[in-house]
Order: sequence, then C-alpha cells, then structure tokens
Amino acid sequence: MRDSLDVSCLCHVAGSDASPPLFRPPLAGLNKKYADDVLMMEQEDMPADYLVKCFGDEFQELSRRHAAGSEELSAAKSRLIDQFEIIATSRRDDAVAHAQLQEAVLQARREPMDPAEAYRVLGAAADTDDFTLQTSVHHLSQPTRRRPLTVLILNRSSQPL
Amino acid sequence: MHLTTKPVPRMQLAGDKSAAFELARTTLGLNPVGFTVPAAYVSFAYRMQARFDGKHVARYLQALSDTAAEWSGVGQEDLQILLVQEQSKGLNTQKALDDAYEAFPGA
Repeated sequence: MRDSLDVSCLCHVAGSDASPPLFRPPLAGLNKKYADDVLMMEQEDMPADYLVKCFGDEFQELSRRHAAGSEELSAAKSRLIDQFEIIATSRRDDAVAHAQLQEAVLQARREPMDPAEAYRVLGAAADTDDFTLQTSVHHLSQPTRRRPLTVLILNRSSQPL
Repeated sequence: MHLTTKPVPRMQLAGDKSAAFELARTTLGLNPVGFTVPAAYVSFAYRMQARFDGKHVARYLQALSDTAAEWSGVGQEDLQILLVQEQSKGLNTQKALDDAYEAFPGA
C-alpha cells in the first residue's frame, strides 16, 4: 500500500513538467456558509458563535414572518428557543461553547415583550390610560379572593392604588 | 468419564427486527445475535457508552430508545424506565437533536 503520492505522477497526469499547483488560492467570495456546505461539517462540530448567529437570524426572520404581538409569533419564538436549548444541552461536554449557547438562550428569553403582546395579555387596548393599566396589573397580581375588595376600592376612589 | 457439553438453550428472537433495531444494538456495542440477551446487558452497554463517550450520548440514547421500542424479551419496562430517567436529566435523543438543527436552515 502506498502511503504517499508521488508528485511526479501528478506532473505526468497533468501533461506538464512544471511543478503542479499543490495549493490553490482561497476562492473569491468564500464565506462560512459556503465553507460548511463544501466541507460537510458535522452539525455537532459547528462552532458555537456560528450557531448563535443562525439562531439570531432565524429569530429575526420570525418577527418578519408573523404579525407583531400575535400569538403565532409568541408560539414560534418559544418553539425556536426550545429547539436551540436542545442544541445547547447537547454541547455540555464543551464548557465554553455550552456557556455561549446558554447565554444566547437566556438573552432570547429576556427579550422585552412586544408592546402589542403586552397589551393583549393585560386585556387592554393601546390607548388605555395609565390608571386602568395599573389596575389591570394589580388585578393580575392579586389572589382571586381579594378581587372584589379591589374593585370596591376602585369604585370609591379615583386615586391609583 | 466422558463429559458431553450441551448448548445452553436460547430464546430465539421473535419475528424479524427492523434495521433501526439492529443498528441500535450495533451502536451500543452489542453483537448481532439471533437470540435475546438480558435487558441488563443493554442497560450496561448504554451506561458504559454514555460514560466514556459523553460527546455522543444522544446517539446512544437514540439507540436505547430504538432498542426499547422493539424489545421482545423480558425487561422492556426496565429499558423504558432507564430511557425516561435519562431524558429527565435533560438528555435528548439524536432524533430530537436532528429536529432541533432542522429548525435552523443555516445549521
């Protein structure tokens, strides 16, 4: 079995006596995506920063695809974060990559809620005044048994609670 | 005195097994044999593979899942309990991991 390839064979095949170009210059326009496609890199070996970039791109793509504040957008984002968390969990043996991926998950979860979505959760419209909004928040944060009392106080007073 | 040895009776595998089942057993390091092995062998094989090749634990968990799904001998419950225990630790099967990567077109 031959362990190495004789360069003179390459010259003969090429039909030239000149030294063959063993190394080609980098291809113009070679980017990471193209390199991954060409090299057929295993998914489990993909660098963490590249995965985080894919995650960010897909996250923004969801915002373009669905209406702002819609339930579909919230559900799609939650689903995407869950999928990315599975990927992050699979990198537990690499502490640096795992920390980087988990940080991306945490940042995505901490993203401020879309204003339209926030109004929908509170059951209020966008032009609702501050006092009514505070009341809604207060109601949501109170146990059910105290709600009648809160409503009574609201009826008797015009001051914010 | 002449001793004659008799083969140990084996329980033959019931029915044809799928390619996924055979691949799962090979992944776990079990030889493809025509008779059933104790479920404890499969559990032991999974634990050893996951312990010493933690990077590919998703593949071994998938193999355990495929094996447990078509297990025809005694001990199927033990394999399924082990599978659930591992998943409760946050480990995912290879299929779940592949599905997760599918969510990201560039990855």
